[in-house]
Amino acid sequence: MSDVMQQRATTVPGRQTEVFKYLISGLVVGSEVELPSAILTAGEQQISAVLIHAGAVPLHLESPRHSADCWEAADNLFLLRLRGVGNFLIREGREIIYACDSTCDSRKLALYLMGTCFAILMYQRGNLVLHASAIVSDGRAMLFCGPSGAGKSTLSALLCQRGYALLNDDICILRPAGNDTYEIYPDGRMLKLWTESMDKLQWRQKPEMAIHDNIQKYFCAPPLAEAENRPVEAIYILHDAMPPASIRRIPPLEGMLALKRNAYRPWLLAAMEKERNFFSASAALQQSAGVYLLSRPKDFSATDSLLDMLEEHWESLRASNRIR
Amino acid sequence: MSMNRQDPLSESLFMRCNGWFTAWIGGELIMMNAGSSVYLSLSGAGGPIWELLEVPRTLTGLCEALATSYEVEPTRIRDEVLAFLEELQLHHAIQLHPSALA
Repeated sequence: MSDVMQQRATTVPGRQTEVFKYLISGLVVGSEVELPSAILTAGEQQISAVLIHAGAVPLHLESPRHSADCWEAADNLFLLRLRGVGNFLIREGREIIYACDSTCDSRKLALYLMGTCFAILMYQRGNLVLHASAIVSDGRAMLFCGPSGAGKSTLSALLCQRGYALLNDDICILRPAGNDTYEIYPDGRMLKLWTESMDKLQWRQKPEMAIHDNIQKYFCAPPLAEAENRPVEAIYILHDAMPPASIRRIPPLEGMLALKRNAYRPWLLAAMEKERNFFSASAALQQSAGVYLLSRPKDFSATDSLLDMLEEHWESLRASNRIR
Repeated sequence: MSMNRQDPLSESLFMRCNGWFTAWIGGELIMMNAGSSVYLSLSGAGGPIWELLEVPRTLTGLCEALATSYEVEPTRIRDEVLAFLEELQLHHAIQLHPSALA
């Protein structure tokens, strides 16, 4: 097990339970549950901006503004009821309370906490949350968006093998950085790779652990992980296509739709009345960073030429930045 | 040549419908309806027309305002502006002011 996986717990004043302290997307998060692959903070005395803890979760909210079978949303409150996992109350962008089902183990619980629950919390805080993985090139974040199975982690893994640092996997939280620019904070997540992808990638590092007992998908530590927040330079929408691979800039309207499709759990935007916020942020993002369609065969044919093409694209972006 | 002041549509007030978010990206105005999630992209004079409709305006008033900006005769752009307004109406982005329907 790597250092990252060796969890340390401390007791937070005012709470009797031991709490792990993580740095997730620039926030100190105190969690009663181990969150595999999140970054443990060195400063154990830091005050948590976000708390994740067990507690009583109501079956219903008092006055939900929107609801469906397994969720209810009100102002700054979100209730999730997930069969086989548990109930979750996400509150005011600073607290996730869970009541776990007896059949749910801590690893499965952590997957939901780090995925949907944390995304809801970050939406509550007014951030843009994309279903994307990201690497760093020349100090700037390059994002790869797509639904589950689109190849985000695999492409990021290929780039990591070329020496690029991993910034995020599967979920990217973008925070405004002034002048309509956005930056991404690393959250220490490892790549989540299927065994088949690991074989084809000839992934040499030993996987840390399965993301869940019944899934042949593993947390894999990247050779190099980014530690600093980075400005967003380009967002690539992954598209499975016949060779040759190509990159084209997406026009504004198509770009808005593509970003919305690649919001993390897009249905949350309407449920949480965040559509206006997401719309404005997407427009600002398109002004400061390009949105591109990356068409390529999803299999592992011609990966070298694909990576070469991406590197050439980044060089052209750098050149145009120098001119600006 | 002056606008046809006899045409009742020329003097009807057009106004924006509620529920649309807008943002400029480059030279395009992108619009989204919060209720229906319909997206529109207005290019060329479309964006400026939407901005002029911040207050209800007649077709004549719109054409005169645009004619000044684009240095053309109002009558030359009337049909085009009307067609554009009809398209916006079709998408429930604008409507006739209630006074025009009385």
